[in-house]
Amino acid sequence: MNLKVTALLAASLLPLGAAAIDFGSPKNPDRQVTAHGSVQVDGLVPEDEGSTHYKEKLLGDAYANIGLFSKFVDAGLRVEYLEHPLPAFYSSPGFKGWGVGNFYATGKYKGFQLTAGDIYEQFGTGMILRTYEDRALGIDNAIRGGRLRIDALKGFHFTFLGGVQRRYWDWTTRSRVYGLDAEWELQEHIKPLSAHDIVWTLGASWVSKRERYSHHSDSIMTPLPVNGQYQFLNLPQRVNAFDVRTHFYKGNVDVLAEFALKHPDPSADNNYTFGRGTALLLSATYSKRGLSAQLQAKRSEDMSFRSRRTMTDITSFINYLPPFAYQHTYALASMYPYATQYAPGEWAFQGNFAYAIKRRTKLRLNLSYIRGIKREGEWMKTDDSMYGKDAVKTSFFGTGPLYYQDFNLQADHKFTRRFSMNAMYMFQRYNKTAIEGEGGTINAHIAVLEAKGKCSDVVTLRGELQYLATKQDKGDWLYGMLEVSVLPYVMVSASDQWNIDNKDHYYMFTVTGNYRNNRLMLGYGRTREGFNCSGGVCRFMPATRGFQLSYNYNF
Amino acid sequence: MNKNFSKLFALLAGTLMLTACEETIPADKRYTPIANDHPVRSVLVEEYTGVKCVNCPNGHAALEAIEELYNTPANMEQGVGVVAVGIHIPDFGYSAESRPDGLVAPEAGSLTPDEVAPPQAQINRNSGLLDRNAWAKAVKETIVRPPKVTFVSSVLAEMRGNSIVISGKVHSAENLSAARLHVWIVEDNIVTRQLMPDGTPNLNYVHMNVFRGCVNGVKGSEFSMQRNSERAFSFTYAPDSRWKAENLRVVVFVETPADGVLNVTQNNLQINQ
Repeated sequence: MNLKVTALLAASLLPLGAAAIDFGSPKNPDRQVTAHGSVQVDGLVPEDEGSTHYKEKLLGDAYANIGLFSKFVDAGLRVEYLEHPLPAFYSSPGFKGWGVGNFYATGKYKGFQLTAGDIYEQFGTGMILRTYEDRALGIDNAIRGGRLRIDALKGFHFTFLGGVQRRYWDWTTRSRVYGLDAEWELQEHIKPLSAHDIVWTLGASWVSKRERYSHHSDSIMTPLPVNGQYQFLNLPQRVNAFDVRTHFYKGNVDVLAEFALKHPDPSADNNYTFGRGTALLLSATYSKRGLSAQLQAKRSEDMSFRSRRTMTDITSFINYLPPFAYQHTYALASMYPYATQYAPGEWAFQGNFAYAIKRRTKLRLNLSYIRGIKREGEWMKTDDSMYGKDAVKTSFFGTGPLYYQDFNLQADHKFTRRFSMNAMYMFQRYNKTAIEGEGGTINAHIAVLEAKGKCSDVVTLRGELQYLATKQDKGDWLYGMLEVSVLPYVMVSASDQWNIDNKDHYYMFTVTGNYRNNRLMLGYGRTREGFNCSGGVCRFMPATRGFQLSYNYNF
Repeated sequence: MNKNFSKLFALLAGTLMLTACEETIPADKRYTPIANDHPVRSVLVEEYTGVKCVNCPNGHAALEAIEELYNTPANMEQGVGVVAVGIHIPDFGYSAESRPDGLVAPEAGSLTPDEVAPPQAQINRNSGLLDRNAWAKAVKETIVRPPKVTFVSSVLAEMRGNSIVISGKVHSAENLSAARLHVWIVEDNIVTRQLMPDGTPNLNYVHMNVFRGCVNGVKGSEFSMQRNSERAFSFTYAPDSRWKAENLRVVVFVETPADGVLNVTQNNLQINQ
């Protein structure tokens, strides 16, 4: 019986649910095994929207996880069915498929942990290694191989890992990733630190990518003649990246500093140029009851670090650069989301301030300011004349064009125990040309008013009204939403996003039911095209219309 | 004990920085020249493009460089080289039927693969969709393979009155079944708008190789042939009055489902006064 069929049978057992499976008596908890898992199904019955037409009558993605956990051994797997993917992934070559997308087994004993299978890991803030799953974006860049974690030495933590990186249903062995991370908690060995309640960590990491290629099969040829002839590029088959960091925490103060360096890594992202990538991150936070303030600065340049140098979509990233733009959840506030500029680099600054007035009112102020790096000439996403050349010189402190600016002020007030309101004003500048390739700079003023009231102990009413004013792109938008919840079982919502200039409505009606571990959402409506971003990583979502279904089960 | 561990950590951290050396490739060692092989056939490059596609001017430049390399006078005289056709796809342009400056031909939707992300191209319909940095390599590998089908003398394309008359002859070295002959009209030197890589529109961009229409339908004409035989073809086509006859050329190619394009040829439209 092949692996796919076996996995499907295993996944079909999930709805039986599981609590604790006890192989031993209650007197022997060391032998207790617990099972946890989930099922997620998202579907769409698509209708024609604009010029987009789908051949299939039903599109959807399905995931089923199960994990077994015990004192000494953990194991798990995930089955995925993505043969008829949702519109966001429909045109992604390689996304379609089904089978066991993830599996692992971990042995644990006295501070040692050995994992074989698919590994999710992060070194520091992720600037040279972060493997994770984000289903909404279709990201799963897990490393399939092995990892050893050593926490057995007091105050020291070591991680060694190596393997091949996943890209949809491809785990090519032509490219391998290895990593080593070490962290030292100084307060465990320096008594004055612990005596003063100081937590101070030093960390260092190394990640190496080996990507083989041959001139005969998979070489990179210059798209334009060089010296009168087409040429094969001779590329480094091994690229190393390093990271050092320190994190200081005492009482109300938290300070983080991290620096990453990447050796020359010619790739499609940087027009196959030779230059070192660097990233520097500084963050300071002060917080106490009722007040918090955070200031952050980051400079990154040529830090696109992928396991496959020819990729230009959002797959195959080994690393992750923390976003410095506020992650908005309101519909119109997230109309123009910022995507971190890995290859061209950026200077990014962010300030977050929160203040509570007498428990009933909370004020939040966020400022984000992101500019490009000053360089000789202009950054061009595709510049065929640069293949094989040294990267253009840049100025460390100099800044280039404005990429993104966001000023938003939010006020949250609880009028009574049953009624509260949230108001937000936001001014945003978004360089659509730099981020999306065309469209100029968009200046937008956004206002949001949200009200939430408890009509009774079980019925809650929530409404939102939003307005986006801009003279660029598609002009002004108005958004309204009304949601009724009958706790804990049912929620009904209706919303409309109205593009006033083009007289276009994007309406949505949903009914959501919750019962025990099950959640089912049914809806009908239109969604506009745009970018869905999470953590500065964005995927283009085409416009859709049709019936939607979403089911989740957790145990 | 703590001192030993802290020394170990410092040693480890220092080792991380030093052990893995930077794989440096000096500037003069970054290229390996590719020998210019002797082409023995023509190659069809179907470029998927659009006036709203900001990266497409780079695609056009890459294709122009490939044409310059292979379409030398000597090669053209022998009937070998690169035949480029730019198919403007519906999502990235304006319909030729609804706008006088539209470059999206009525048949373009049927000729556009599902998952195309311009600028992309396919070479001889058997390479799959390729990004532009892979075009030169694919053409180089294809242009040196002897063709199974040849065109007996140049294809004749004449303007007679308001119609284009096309005639020619195909010779096959092998038995052919379920082969298809395609005859297309292509126009050069069309001046209209194009979005550039910096996001700004160039209103006077010169478009070359623009696909205008299928003479014998999207699916072409199906035929079979015996080995070492010839087959003649002849078509009459009424071009759109907005096209400039002096900029038109005819592209003819033969394909099979298994092998893709067996050979391709092109000729400028002769206008008899």
